[in-house]
Amino acid sequence: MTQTEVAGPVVASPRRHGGWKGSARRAALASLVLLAAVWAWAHLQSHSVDLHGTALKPLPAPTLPGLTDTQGKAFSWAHERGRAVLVFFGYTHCPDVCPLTLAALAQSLRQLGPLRQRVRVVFVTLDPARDTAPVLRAYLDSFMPDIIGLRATLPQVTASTRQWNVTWRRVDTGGGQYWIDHTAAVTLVGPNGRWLARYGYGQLTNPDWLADDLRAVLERG
Amino acid sequence: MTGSTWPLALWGGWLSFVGAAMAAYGLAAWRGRWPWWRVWVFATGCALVLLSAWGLHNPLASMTGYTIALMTMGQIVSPLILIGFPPQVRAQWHAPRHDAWSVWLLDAWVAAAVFIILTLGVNLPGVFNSALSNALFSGPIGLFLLASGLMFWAQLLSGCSSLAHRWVAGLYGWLGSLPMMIIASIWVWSGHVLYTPYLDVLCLWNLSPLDDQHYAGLVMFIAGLPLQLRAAWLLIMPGDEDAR
Repeated sequence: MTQTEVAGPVVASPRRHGGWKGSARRAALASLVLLAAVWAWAHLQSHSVDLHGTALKPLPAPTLPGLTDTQGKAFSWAHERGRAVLVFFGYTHCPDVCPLTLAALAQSLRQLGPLRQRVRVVFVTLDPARDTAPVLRAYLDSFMPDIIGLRATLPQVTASTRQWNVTWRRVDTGGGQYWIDHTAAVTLVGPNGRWLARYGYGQLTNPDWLADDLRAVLERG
Repeated sequence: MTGSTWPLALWGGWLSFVGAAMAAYGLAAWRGRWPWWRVWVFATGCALVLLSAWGLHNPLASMTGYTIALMTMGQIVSPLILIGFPPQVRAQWHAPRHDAWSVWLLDAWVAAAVFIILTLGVNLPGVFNSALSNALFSGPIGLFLLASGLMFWAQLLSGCSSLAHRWVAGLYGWLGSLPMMIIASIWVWSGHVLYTPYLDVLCLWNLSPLDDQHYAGLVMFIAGLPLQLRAAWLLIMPGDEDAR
């Protein structure tokens, strides 16, 4: 058979340079070069950035209307001026991302020393039905006792999630049980009350990154 | 800060690249009096390259959109560009004067190695995430997939193929498509979000990150179909009308 069988009429027959051994050598060389390039590419990510999180437009952090802490007090940004605030939307029955994120935050914050006092974590529950104030408080205390836990009615929480660009939905798993699929991002609000950056879980895996960012933010502002 | 979209210079480079390709092709087509339908096929491929920029310029906006763009470059644009050239012209690429590049780019072994390594490589979290953390990486990744797609598809079309037997070409195409199908399966059926940067963004169309990943896998399945159909065609059909 000839090459014409591959796809109809052709006018030239390709010559094999070095036969199959030549082809195999070229393929091996190309593979080596490509594998090296892929490896280099994967390690090329620049860390020469101001912050390790994903930048946000420095808009004023949206108010959290109607949300109250676990003692029933309304939340106010005015009380947090001068502090870096990490805002996270989650729920206490979350099996993985929420506890992992809170544990990662706790790990980063432990590195801050005296600056720790100038950092606040705010956890907004997406599941007010199950996350009553006592449940929420007990859950948050297991990570850091000074986390502010916020809750409200479902419509109020939904309104806040829109303002904070958090998507979520309830997924029924049968037997009255459900879990919540949600954006698992921590938003950093600067001491001036403006958005600074967001951190997905992947950006929190190294506790030094967030700790470095918080130091930089607090020391310059 | 990391860049989430393309700077103006990259947009300019993308447009210049397509413009230069179209100009060079147009000149060759005019001189060779190539059939109009081939010119249209080539132009469609170029238009799709431009449209792919939509998904490539902000890969973090949507994994589905980004996958549509990458697959379009690798699996839709590639055959269109090649079919834009008459088979007699493609056969001339094997002529001695083109040895400097054809001995590499039109070698079936090299093409298979490049295609498979790039297919698997760009989807490794370390590489995929770099495109997400800085959109400047997504343009070159799209072009690499276009190049590897051109090399691989060249082995399945008349004139430019180096494979001697029709059934070998079919088997070659089918085997080469398997890594893509495996990745698509992992994306569709995985219960976890595999690329963590998507966890902290609001995806287009209000999809959850996991749904977005599932749709991206579906897109990859669908985009792989032309390659599989072509491979099946070569395996089971006695003749071929494509390149006449």
